[in-house]
Amino acid sequence: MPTARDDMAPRHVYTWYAPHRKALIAWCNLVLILWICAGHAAMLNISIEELARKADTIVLGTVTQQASAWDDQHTAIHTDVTVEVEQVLTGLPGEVVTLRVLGGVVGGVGMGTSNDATFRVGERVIVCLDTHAVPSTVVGMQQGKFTVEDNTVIRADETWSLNEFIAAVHTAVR
Amino acid sequence: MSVRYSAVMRGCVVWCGGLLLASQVLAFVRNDSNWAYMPNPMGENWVICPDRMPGDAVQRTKDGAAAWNYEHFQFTFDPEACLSNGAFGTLNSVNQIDFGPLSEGVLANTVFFFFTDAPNQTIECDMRFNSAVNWYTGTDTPAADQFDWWSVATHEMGHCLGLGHEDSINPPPVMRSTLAMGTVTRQLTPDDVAGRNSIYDAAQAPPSGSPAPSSPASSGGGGGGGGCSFVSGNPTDTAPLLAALGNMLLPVLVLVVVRVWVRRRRR
Repeated sequence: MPTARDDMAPRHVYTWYAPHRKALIAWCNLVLILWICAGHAAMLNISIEELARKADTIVLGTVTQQASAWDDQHTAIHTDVTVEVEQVLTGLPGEVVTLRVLGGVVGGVGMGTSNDATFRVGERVIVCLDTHAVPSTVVGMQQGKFTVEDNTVIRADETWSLNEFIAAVHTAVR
Repeated sequence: MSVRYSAVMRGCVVWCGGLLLASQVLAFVRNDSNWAYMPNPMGENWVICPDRMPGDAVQRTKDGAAAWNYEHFQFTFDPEACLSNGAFGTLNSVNQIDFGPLSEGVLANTVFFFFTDAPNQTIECDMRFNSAVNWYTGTDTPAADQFDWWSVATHEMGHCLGLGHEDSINPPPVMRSTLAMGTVTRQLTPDDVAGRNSIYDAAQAPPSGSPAPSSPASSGGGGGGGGCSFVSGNPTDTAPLLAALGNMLLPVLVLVVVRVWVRRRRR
């Protein structure tokens, strides 16, 4: 047997709660959209495809050695980074590649830059290289270096699965 | 039914609040070195080489530096001069900002030298803006095909004072590594302020006779200590928390308006 309360409940729901719910859901969606937009508005990354087109060599490997030195004028420091190649994504490198980045530490003095890639021994990386330069340089500076951890490729706040990344490179260079 | 809808509403509010508060997390990154060891940090007489710089680039560079000024330091500029013979990124005891060629895709580059004593001490900082870029040097909004010099200057000065790139948080800080054409990031975010404060709040007080602070509104206490921290860990920097609470109150206000509207409609 229907009661007065049963009769009121649907009206209560549809008259009062439904507009509230719709407003809240709409508001949450708006917040989410604005939040996502704000997070990506300043991004102007060099894409994988662009890097793959500009680099003549892209390798996956592990950093085995770093050696820093002053230039001939003793005014700037560079670091030669040795990478043991695990997989060639594009190009024809040897089993080991050596690349040069600006910055490093020599004899109690250090030099850092805001845009050059930095490496650490033991780090598993993917690097996009210009091997026509002697010694080789990283294309796109720090944007041309990716850290690989547990088969996840990481650059700043971006991540890819290793397979996804390799497929993107292969597609771009085709 | 009403219980279920109430739960949905509460869930929405909690979700929105969590999202907004999460976006306020601080995560600044510090460079290997800074000037905090000096009695007058950033008073190292910075020099701008104005050769071929477009429009009001010199003034915008100073504006970018001024964004960071607070009671613990002020960027001090010498009269414009070119003292590095066209060289960039070389150790020559001159903190020079110039305009010239850089790698493709780079808006500007900052090079800093430091002693590796603990804590690492910056001894020189040089900065170059890429001459191949279409720059906007005004104070309004750049066109869709221009990059904002003022924003980039603010960013690069952050490197000079000891901050690195921070790409993981919202709102995007000045120290984000990338900038889109036609956009500006001239104002420090709470993350930028916390990063600066974490380095210099504990630094030696400026000597007597040094200029008064120009931007007390941007000063704060605490700081994040070089790692991740939350706004609540910085007791004097309440702006982001208030902003988040304000955002959370907005849907409540909307609900009240909707409720009043529905009541009137029923009448």
